[in-house]
Amino acid sequence: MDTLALIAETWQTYHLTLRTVQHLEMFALSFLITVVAGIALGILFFSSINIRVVGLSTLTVIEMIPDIALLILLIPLVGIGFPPTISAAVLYSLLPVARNTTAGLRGVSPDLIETATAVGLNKRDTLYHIRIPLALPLITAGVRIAVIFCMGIVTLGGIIGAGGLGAPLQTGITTGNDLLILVTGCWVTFLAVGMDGIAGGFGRFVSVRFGGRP
Amino acid sequence: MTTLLEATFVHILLAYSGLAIAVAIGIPLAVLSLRSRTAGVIISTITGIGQAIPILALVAFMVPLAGIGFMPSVIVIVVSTLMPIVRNTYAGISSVDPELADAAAGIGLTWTETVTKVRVPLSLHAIFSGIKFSSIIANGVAIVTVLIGSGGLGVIVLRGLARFYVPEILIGILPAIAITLIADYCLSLLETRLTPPPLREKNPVIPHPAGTANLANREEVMYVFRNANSRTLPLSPLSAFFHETGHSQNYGTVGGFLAMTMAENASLQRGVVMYREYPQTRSAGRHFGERTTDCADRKVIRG
Repeated sequence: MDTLALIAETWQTYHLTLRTVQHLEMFALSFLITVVAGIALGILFFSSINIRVVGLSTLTVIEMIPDIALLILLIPLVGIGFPPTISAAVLYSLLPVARNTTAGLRGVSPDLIETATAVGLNKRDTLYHIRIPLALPLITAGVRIAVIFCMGIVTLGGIIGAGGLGAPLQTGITTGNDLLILVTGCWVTFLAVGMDGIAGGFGRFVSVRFGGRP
Repeated sequence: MTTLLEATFVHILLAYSGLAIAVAIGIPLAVLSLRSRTAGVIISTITGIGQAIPILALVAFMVPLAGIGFMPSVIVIVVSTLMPIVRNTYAGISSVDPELADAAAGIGLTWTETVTKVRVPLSLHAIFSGIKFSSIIANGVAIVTVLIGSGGLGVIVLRGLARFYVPEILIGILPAIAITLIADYCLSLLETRLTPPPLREKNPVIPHPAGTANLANREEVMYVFRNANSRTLPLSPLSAFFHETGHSQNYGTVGGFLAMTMAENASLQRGVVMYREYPQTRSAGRHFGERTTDCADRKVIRG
């Protein structure tokens, strides 16, 4: 009971409920932007080879920068706190989503596309009714990576004053508050692993529903 | 006050000692996953979960678990870089064409030799993409670990952040990015170096293999296989395999046997095989040449 009371007290003192809300807000925002922009970019990359080459290599270069470095590089550009965290999370997570979307759209069997053309579907219909559904397993795999990346970067945002659960973690480290570290660390780990698990479960569901690749 | 040079040195030491340990642990773990199904499931579950944990949480966990300083920071780097290495290595070595593994077992290679001489050389690209990704992570984590007193470039970054002095932040962060890019390039070079020569090109125009300096008492022969209905050349693995085993004593026999395996292998339509005959096993070599009906060409490169 004592331990529970201590944990509850730590939770209260460091406003962990508020921190969690901030954390999930940043996560949700960056994740949504990533998914929407990533899939849109993937479709764009699919439709034009020039854009694909330029776009994917740009995103690959961004991916070669360590996430914390990207976060910090953005500070002079967009300020401190919330904006660089969201931008870094989006920039970093775009590649897996966009790349997987393009790969999925391109990977659809030519036989199927031929059949679709034969029954009179135009390019647009083929994209919406054949390619995208069949690419979904790969797209969700990319989205799952994006969940992990966004969670990681949003937590790192605590270092540069974005709030969220990274902030109490940093406080715990600098003040040597082991209990605070354990409570926040386990909680943020639980959230991250849980989100990853949900994304994984959704991916499996989609794979079963739409077949093709796991 | 830490100078930039010192900080860079500590940063490199921190990131790459951690990465080296992770490689040393990760590749055997992947091999273990290949050997035992149970171990594979356990390892992939743990690495899967581990990959989801935010880095900052990992760093923070070190304070109550292992204290602060350089060594706990190395532990964080090992833990966070281990997962991509294990996953990629396992993905690579487990997806090697089963027929190749069978052929290797058929010519008498032990399981360990199959891994070291066939599976690993063939999956170097996958292994190295894991290491490259891990190298990027290591560079990032090595900055974050300044919070638990690792030293390095993070010190400058943190000082810059505390004073919100942008030039100082950049001075700390730009060398880290440069190191990451240079390391990526070096790892690519290393990958090419480690890849058996016939595997380096997409369409191997079998180059003179490296290390043919003391071939005085050997004849070097190249056999070219072609099937009438040949469509593709999926064969670079086998020729690489030849090259790999070429250093062993019973190469002629090995070559003969493997070549027969190849000729009987339906999926193999055309192949270029690098082959060296040794004086003491020349009969085996001839045998190999005669038995292989698909052999369309036989060139003595040097002898």
